[in-house]
Amino acid sequence: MKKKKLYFWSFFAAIAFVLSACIFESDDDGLETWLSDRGMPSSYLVQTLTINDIKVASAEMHLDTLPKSADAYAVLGHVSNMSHDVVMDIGFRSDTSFLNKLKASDTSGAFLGLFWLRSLYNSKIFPSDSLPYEEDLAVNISWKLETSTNKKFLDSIMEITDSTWYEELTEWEADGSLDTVFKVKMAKGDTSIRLDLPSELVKSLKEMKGSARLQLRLSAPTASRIYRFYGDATYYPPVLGLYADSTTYLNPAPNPFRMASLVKNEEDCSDCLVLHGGVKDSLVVELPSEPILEALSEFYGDEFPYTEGDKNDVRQTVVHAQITMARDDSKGSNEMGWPIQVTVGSYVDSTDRTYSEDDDERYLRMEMLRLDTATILKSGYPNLVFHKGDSLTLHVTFGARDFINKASDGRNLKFAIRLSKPFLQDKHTVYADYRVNEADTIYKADGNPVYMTKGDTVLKFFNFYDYARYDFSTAVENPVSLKLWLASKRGNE
Amino acid sequence: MKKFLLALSILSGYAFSSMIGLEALGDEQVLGGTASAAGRGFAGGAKTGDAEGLSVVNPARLAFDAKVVFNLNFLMEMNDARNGGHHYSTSNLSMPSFNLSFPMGSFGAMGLSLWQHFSSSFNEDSENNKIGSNVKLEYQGSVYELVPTYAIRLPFFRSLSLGASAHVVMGNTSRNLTLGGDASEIEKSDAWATGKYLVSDYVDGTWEIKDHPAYYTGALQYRGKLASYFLSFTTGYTLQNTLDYNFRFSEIDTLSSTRSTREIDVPAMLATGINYRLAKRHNVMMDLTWRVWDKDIENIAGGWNMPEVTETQTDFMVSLGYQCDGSPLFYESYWNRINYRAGAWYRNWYIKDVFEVGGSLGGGFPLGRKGTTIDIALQGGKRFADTKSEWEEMFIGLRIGLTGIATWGQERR
Repeated sequence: MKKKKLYFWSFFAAIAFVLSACIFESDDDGLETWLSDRGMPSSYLVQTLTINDIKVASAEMHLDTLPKSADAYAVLGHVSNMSHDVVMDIGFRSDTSFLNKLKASDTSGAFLGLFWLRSLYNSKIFPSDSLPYEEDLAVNISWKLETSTNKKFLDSIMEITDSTWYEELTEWEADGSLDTVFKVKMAKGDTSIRLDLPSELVKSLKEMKGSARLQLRLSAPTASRIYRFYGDATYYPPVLGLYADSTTYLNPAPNPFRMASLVKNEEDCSDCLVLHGGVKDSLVVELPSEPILEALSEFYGDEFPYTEGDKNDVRQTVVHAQITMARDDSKGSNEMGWPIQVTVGSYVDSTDRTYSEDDDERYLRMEMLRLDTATILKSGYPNLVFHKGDSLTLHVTFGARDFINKASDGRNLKFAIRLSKPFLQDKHTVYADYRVNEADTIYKADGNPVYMTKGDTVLKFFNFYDYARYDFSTAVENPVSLKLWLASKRGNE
Repeated sequence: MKKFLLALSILSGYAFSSMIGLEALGDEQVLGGTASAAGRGFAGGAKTGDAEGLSVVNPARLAFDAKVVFNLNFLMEMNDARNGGHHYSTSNLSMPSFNLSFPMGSFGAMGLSLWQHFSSSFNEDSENNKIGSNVKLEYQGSVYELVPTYAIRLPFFRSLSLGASAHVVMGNTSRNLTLGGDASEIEKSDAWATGKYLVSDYVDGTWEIKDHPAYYTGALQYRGKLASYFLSFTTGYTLQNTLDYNFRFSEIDTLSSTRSTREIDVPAMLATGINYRLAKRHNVMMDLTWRVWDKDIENIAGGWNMPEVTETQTDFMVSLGYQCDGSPLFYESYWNRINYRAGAWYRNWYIKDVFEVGGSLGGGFPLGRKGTTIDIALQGGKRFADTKSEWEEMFIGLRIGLTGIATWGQERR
């Protein structure tokens, strides 16, 4: 009986479906017509609005000088009006036999072995005319030495967190220091450099008993360039060579267990609008709200800002926004000769960080780059400096959305820009690293050819920062233009 | 049962729902949308029996039930909306109500219903390059009501019963209109920034009754030898819908939403009905519900050229039904044990110039001897719409009710 019922209903359902399929079918444009009759759209109409001659309301430089990790690679020297120091934190235990030999020896000494950052200097695309480097490098070596016979001494040092150590480095009071000059000679393929350490330091090391913590700082503020070498968290960490004589070394040779880099701004003016590559600095720009809101008001014929209800304006939204600024590359300098991408982040509300008249706590959201293919193919990416052209175009979609949505609280369109890494595919629209399928010669953004063998990867960005310097005063002092791509939910009046 | 559920899930793929009133409250599931009521044209509010179960319009009827009833209803409806030679079909599967009732002898009867009173369910998309459309529209809305009910026969006049129920309202509603860009009005050189970028106009919110925990229904039922009547009154109430409205670029990337509250004054409802027993097991019945809307309904969200409000009218429903009760004796032939139902109705919707004419055929099929029943109702009809924004609709629907009947807590006789 049950089976019969099931067959009956299955048959019934099948007939119902066949009949309904015949009767109930949709036109190709049925949904669109229905939507239209209800006053609903079937796509959003995009309109553009360009607001010219906006004078920047404020522009402020910010440089984070708190020491940063140099565990991956370290930078020593001076470039682009910035000096770069490196500090190593070395902990080691020495056996009594070696210490006795060290104390008794007249030929004892210490040196630091640094391994050049070969992934940079030996890179196929590193500018071939940069090397060799030759310089009498004036270096100030300063140190702090602590020794202890407590068996847990080294453990207690390791327990100091990196962030605490970085904080401590901001007030560096050395136990000793010495200015010295090293002859630097680096050609392509060279691996390392030996820096002999001062005899005063060796003398102090002779006094050690048990364990030692040596913090070693290298400064070269008068160097003609920067030198980059591997950090402690690599296969080629710096090595402290401590020897009693030419055959008796402290074995194994100690390596730093952490390293930090410290930067010092040596620009003539503290408030000049100069961004530097490779360091944590940013230029925060605010555009005035009035001209933007006035232009929107004229465009839509509505009041801006929106002040009804909770004052959040959802009458329209920004599909895309970009700001175009004047550019003068002659006021900058770079190391590698390639264009550098300017990255931009906008200040927007988040759940717990918002704008108020007293305190602007909006968080910085990095903007997404959308590819204007035709422009890129014709004249390259528009957000590059050290590149042909005299303008800089930055995408500020998230910022413009946030600003127009919440303009009633008095906020401005605010964004921060930074120098990113060298950009290698200035006219390539892939905007990704890709592998070449066959051997080919490609041309870098600086016009120099690079021979790529099959399977080589063509990079979007070079892996290392160019410690460049770029003056944005031209960009900020000249009027800027803001172009908005808008979608509105307004009807046809 | 597994096969049945499988067939149900397959059928759900072919089901369609109404496209009328989506911006207002959506489709109203009258009488709890039960398959048994639908089979007799939504009439039979006054029909009593051992296991008629809970009625959200006539709570007093429950007092005459003698058995515990558990009832679960499904609706599959197919709609074809038409206007000026254009037509569009949609589908939906819903569960209008779940009912449970416990007769307690001389202590009366208690019941509980979870009723999807109003629902809007719509999820369609279209990409048509010829006319430059790229749209996806989704409505998901339910005004759910939890309806505790109590009914009792008067001790001194056992043919008369009183019943009351409270309707606790809950639920939510959302509209998500996702659109692709139309770059026809901008320079070709600017079109790159629109690309295949999708923007969603999104609104969602929750339902509750303003300043009150519930609204209420009171009813009086008379059971005669041949004729039974009921009269019920449901209080008016204000539905409050707190809405957050914004543009979305993805679920985690939105503008700060703007919050607003729409208030919908649902008027009081009068309902009455009669059931007349023609002969043994043959019943005819007629019901009438009446509700006078005097305020328009603010739409869920405006924008573009959409009207701000949905205009209302007096809504009423006249339904006529017939039911031939099946024999309660399990040893009778199966065909004799089936409840046969038929009915027709005319309904003025709460939306101005929208009315509906429909008819139904149904049956209650006992499964085994333990009192389990499957109610099936096949319904069809037409919704006429003489408004600019709504299209008329043809509909057919299949309602399936699973009913378990038991005699818990009662001694075998």
